[in-house]
Amino acid sequence: MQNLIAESDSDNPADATIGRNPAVAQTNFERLIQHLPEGSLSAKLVAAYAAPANATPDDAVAKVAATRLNELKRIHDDTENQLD
Amino acid sequence: MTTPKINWIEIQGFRAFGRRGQTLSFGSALAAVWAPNSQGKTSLAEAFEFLLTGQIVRRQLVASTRDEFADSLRNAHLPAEMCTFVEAVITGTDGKSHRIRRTLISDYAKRKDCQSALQIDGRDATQTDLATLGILLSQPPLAAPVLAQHTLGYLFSTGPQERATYFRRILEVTDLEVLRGAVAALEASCKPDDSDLQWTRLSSATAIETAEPILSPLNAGVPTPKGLAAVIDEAITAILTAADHPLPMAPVQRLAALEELLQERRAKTFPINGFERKPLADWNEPTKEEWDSLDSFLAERETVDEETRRLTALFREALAIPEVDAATRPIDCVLCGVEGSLTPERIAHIRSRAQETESFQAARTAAMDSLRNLVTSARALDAAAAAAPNFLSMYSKERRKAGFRIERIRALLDPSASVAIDIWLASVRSLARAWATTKTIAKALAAEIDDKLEDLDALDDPQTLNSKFSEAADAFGGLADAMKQYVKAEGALLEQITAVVDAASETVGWQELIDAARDQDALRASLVERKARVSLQGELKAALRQIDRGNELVLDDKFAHLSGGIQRWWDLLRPDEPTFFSAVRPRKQARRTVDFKAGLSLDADRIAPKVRDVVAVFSQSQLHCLGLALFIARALHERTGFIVLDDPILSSDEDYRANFQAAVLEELIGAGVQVIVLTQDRKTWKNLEHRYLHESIDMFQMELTNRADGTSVTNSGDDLTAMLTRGELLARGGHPNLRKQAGELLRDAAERFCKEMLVHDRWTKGDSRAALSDHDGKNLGQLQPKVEPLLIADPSHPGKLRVIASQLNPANHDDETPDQSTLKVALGDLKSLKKQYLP
Repeated sequence: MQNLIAESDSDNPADATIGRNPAVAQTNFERLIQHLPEGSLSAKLVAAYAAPANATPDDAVAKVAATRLNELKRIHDDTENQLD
Repeated sequence: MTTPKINWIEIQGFRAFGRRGQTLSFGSALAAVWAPNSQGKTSLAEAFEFLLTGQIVRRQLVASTRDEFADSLRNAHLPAEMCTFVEAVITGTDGKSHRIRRTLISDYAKRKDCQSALQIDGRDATQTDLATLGILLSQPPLAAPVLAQHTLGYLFSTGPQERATYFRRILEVTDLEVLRGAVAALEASCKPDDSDLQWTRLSSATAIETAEPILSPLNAGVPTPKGLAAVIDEAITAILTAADHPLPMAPVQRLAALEELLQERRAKTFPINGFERKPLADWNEPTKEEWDSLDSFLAERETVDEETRRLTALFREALAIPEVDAATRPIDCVLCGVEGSLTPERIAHIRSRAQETESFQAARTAAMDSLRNLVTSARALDAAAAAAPNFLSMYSKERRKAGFRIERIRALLDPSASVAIDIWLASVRSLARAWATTKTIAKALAAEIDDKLEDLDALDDPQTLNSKFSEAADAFGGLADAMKQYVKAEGALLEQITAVVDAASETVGWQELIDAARDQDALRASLVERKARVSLQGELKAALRQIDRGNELVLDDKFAHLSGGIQRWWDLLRPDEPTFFSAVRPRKQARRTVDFKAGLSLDADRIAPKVRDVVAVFSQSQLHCLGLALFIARALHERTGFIVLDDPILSSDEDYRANFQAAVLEELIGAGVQVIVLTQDRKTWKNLEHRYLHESIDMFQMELTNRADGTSVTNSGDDLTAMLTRGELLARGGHPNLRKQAGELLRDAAERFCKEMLVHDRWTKGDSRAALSDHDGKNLGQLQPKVEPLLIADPSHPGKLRVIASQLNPANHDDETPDQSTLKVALGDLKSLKKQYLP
């Protein structure tokens, strides 16, 4: 049956999963990361938030931001990039 | 992972259910409950709901005012001493049976929710504990897996935004929204600090007209330390040049020149440097060890007489001379010169006396150290007190001559500043008093301790000295408080004075430039921090955009998945209709709005449909089917193990009833969902029995004949006649599975026949208490010998029962399935025995 309106770009086509559940469910964060540029700050933030190591999710993303802030500060140690 | 299943449910005193608790046992994946109107069918559906949620949603969705549901849960005729409860045994996802009981504590009242107590396996429990059994409630208000007429239309009658919230929670994307909030908060927290001291200095300096073109590039980039120094020097040079000031050769000299020029210009307006002061240094009282040391010295001094103390130094000095210390024969006295007067014996005596005073000497040394520490402390206090502003340290005459006068300050400032001036003056007076007190005490203390250091023997009362230090500490505390008040008052005033003075002397921003020039490392660190934060903020904004887009895609994915599920169930209910459910999805450009879309096609092939909102174009029947399709799709999405459907198809929808009974229920059972269908339509109920005999469908009837007893439930499948009828239907099937089921059913029927025979026999003998339940747990092999003597109408009858027992009894455990002729003979024999003995 053709249905031109509700085309799904889901990786779990509806017909294939009716009445069944995927053996291993993907978390929302795993799904989200797939839509983010690999290695990007957004992907790092989501990964840290989803699996905070020794911290709360909020602390985990704050740590990612702090790390990036330090990287950005270190750029100014490189004299080639400096306004002189 | 398995999903939870209900094994049985017992209800007492809940709504239509009265004092006689009623139990429904579910041995199959499908159960059908029939009850005419007003016999307790909805009460049964709501009993499931109450068990799982402690509420009934009808109160929220239907009642115009919630007051109408006051006292609605407890059966009105239930005796006061009896409680209202719903109890069930559920097989959880752990594969084990768990007893869940919810007892009503207080009913709904005006503006008050009902209260109930949940227990799992006899222990007090919470909703969260239900989740551990795999019973995951859905999004309120339709939290329980119970669909009734009043809940079917909820999503169509609610607003699009409420729908959006509902679906976002059903699709479990609120965690993504929380994540988004966390990143957004992070982005906001990364904003550069505009109140940072270095940045405000630079901003003020950049406001200098001649320096602006030179300094403004610092807003965009961070130069090297060398480059920064050059930029600042260039700015200073530009200012000096504009002021026609001679330019010294070195940058440091140019900075000094600018500072000098600033003071010179300011002084012409007001000697603002009169406010200059050092920060108040920390000062702490001497430690306890110092006082202990002085006390020890006094104690040791008591043990040594004054003469010995006087001579001890001489003794030690004499013994420090090597000739004396090592003398083995009389030598001349090193002090008075008497020839041969220092004999070895006398030297030994001197050594002995010196050793006797060794402890005293050590105490004396320690006391001297302590006194030195004390005097250092006293002088530190005096120095700390020097933190007073310059104008306070000056003589009045000198201050006035410099132009630092209150009248001048008042004249410089706007009249509105008079309050700030008065507050400042009050703080000055307090500071002056505290300052003078502290200095006086500090100087007196230092002088007294100096005296003690000169003559330690004059030290006889360290406690007095200690008390004076306590006074000094109090004075310092007063000074610190006064200084704090002064700094606060001065801050409010000095900012205004500086602005006025700098404006009048055309030196606005000079001081800030000088300060920045003197602390270039801090300025550069601030610029690096700022630049990095600006960059990070930009990156976080970009990350947020990516996350927003990603969240939308995840939501779209999940909507599409759910939408596909609804479509499938819709198509099972209403196949090949040109008007059909198309999708449920967030509205474009308005993500917080969710629409249900219908496709309108000319033909059943649904090609090139027009899209409209379902609420506008669907009939009541179509909306009804959509509500059912959505409920089922949601149940599967959320891995609900069982669902309760209370008349899911409108009585007017004959066509779709058949689709529901066939396609939908088959699909649900195939998906492992336990389905309990409640219906007022007897035809539907019977159709379900016939269609799902092979599933051993559980069949129940409900009726309310006695209001006090409440609704009663009968398992019609247990009725002997019904069992024989069902056995006959199953035996007709050629499939081995059906014959096996028929064999089991006829064996159960034979057991039932035996039990009824035994009960009947006892009744005829006058035992009115005889009941079928007296024989619970007994199988056909045990019952048949007891019944045979009662089969006296014909000599062949006991043999018929024996044959049934021998041929059907093992059917449950044997691989061999009874053939059709065996089943037919057994069925015929059972029917004739029933007709003969239990007419």
